[in-house]
Order: sequence, then structure tokens, then C-alpha cells
Amino acid sequence: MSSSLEKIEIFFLAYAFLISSTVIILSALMVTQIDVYLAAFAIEYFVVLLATSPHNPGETRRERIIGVMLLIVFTGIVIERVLLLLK
Amino acid sequence: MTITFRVRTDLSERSCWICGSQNRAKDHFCSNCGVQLTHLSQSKTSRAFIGPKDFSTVGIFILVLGTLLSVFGYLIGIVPVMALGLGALILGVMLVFLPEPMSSKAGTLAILCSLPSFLDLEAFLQDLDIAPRGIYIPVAGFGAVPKVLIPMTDSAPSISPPPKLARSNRVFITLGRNTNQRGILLRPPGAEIISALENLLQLDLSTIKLDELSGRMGFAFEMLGISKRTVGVQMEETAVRVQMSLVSLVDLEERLRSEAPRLVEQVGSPLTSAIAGAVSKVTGKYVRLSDSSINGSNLIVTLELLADVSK
Repeated sequence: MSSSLEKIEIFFLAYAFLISSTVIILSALMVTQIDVYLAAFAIEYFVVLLATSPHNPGETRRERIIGVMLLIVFTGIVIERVLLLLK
Repeated sequence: MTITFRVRTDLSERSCWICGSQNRAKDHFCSNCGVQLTHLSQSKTSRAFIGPKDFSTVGIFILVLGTLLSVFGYLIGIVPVMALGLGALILGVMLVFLPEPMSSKAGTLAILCSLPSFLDLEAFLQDLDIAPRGIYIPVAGFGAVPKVLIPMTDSAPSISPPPKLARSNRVFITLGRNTNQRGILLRPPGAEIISALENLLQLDLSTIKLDELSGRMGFAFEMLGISKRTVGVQMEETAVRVQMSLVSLVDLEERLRSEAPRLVEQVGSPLTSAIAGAVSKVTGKYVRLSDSSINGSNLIVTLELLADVSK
């Protein structure tokens, strides 16, 4: 199957599968904090990206932009959690 | 994400891609507008990957769905629904934003396939230390492509090469007995683009007027995935200025300007030489490249019109 799919298509399929799996698993575990979901989405993005790379140079440039945005979200969540612990 | 579909090769009718009129399957040209009909693949089964446009359509749908789902989840206070919505939103943004346009891929392939030949031509011009710019020799006839003659010496008087040279396969040419009138006869880098342009339009460019070129060239270049439809052609007394917004080949144009400047200046890049050749064919005049510049995706080519073939 992988030979007939482009890497970018594998990336989308894998990421969509991981997002839905994460929501199912975390909701089954009664997780009610949205930041946990978002942090998981961010980590999964980088994992799937590494697993399916390299992509085309043009796509790689755009992936970096999305990666930086997700990293900012992830860093924000971590900072918030650290501040909560420090209080 | 692949769709497999079967193409029926026994279709009794097929529609024209220009005017939409129905034609018999075995016809090669449209009975209404005369344009060449596209041929079906010999293969009975074709595979089509989801293209960038489909990615965008699916992406926008998932993006909207994700936004609605996350707002709905927020309003009813169910976090997993909101998370699913946010996940879909992120995926939608990626589907719209990430996939590289096909035109960009085609441009990359064009560079990989053709760059070594252009660099060889650049080295050839440098080794021979030829300074003058090439002269495009006008030709007439469907499928005939103008050739470009580069005079070998600056001191050579203004050369008007005979039109029959366009059919010559020689490279080193001496015009008459004057040894100053030597030149190198090349097939222009954009020769195949001119052929493709004529094939697509089913038209001999030498039969149209210069004011028609803008519309015809814009249509053909858009169909070939080279530029947007609007192509500006400004005619001055002895010069023609062509302006267009490229959708592909930008990388090739930029790389050639940095790696093969002599070729770009004296003969032209594939696209500029195609434009020069087309203008030469339409006007029936010898044409010399004056200037070509690319700013982002905007390509501006200025051509100098020399003598008519008859003169």
C-alpha cells in the first residue's frame, strides 16, 4: 500500500488516525483538560512528521511553519502547567 | 488516499475541452472549433492520486467541520467533542496549507531534466567568448520553429540571416564570403514550448497578427501550466514588451539567471526564448532579446524587432 501512496498522503492518514485514537483513548480515560489533548496533538505531529519524512522541499518549509505554531501552543501549555505547580 | 477508476475506451462520444461540443470517439479534432482533442490513455485502468485541489477541498470541509464541532463542544461543555473539533481543525489547516502544488513539482522536474544541458550551453558560449546577442530567424508553417543565430564577432555588421537557415542542422555558419559574418546556429531553448503552443492552439503562429498574440499565448500558457491567462504584449515602434505572471518554471528562470547568465542574456531562458521565437514567427521579423527580468513570479521580456525577412 505504501508504494502507491505519496509520503504526504501517508502523513495525513497517520495523523488523522492518531488524532481520532487520542480523542477516543483520552475520553475513555475521563480526561477533561483540553490542554492535554492539544499537547498530545502537537507531539503526535512531530512523531508522524519524523516517521514519514523527508517530504518535498516546498512541503518541508510549510511543515516547519506549522511545527513552530504547534510548538508555541505546546510551550504555552507547559508554561501554564509549571506556573500552576509553582503556585 | 488513492482513487482507482476505469476509463471506458469504447465511448462513442467525447466532448471537446474547448467548446464542449460532442465528437465521435475516433475523431482527433473537434468538428465544431477544430481544436485537437485529448487522447485517452491506452491503458484501460488509470490511477489518480488526490491532487492538491482535492486536498484543499477536503481540507476546507474538515476545517469548517472542526470549527463547528469545537464551538459546539465548547458550548455544551463536552471536552472530547471540543478536542475532536480542534484536531479536525488542525488537520484541515494542514490539508489546505501543506501539499505542494503540482506546478511546483513540475517546475522542479523541469530543472532537474534540463539544467545540465543549459549549463553546457553556457560553458560553450563562455569558451568561445561570444558577446553579441542571438538573432531569432522567423519561419512560417505549422510546427516550424525559429532558430537563433549568434554572431561570433562584435565587429560583424548587422546580420540578416536567410530564412532557409531555420531548416539547417549545421551549428557553425558562415554567411557569404565575409569571414566576419560567422555565427552559431542553435535551436532555441524554448523551441519545444513554441511547438507545444502551436499544437495546443492548432494554429500556425505566422498566420496571426501581433495584437492577437496576447490572448492566444495567454490561453496556451495557462493550459500548459506556465503562466496565468493574462499576458500583456505591448508593441512599440521597434520593440515588443511581453509581461506575464508565472505559475511554474520560476525556479528554473531564477537558477538560470544565476548559473547561466550568458545564455539567458544572449539566447534566453526556455520561456524567454519561446516568447522571442513566437514574436519572431508572428511578426515575420528578425528578433533580438533586449532584456528579460523576473520579479517574484512576474516575467518581463523586452524584444527588439529587426528587419523583415523580405528585406
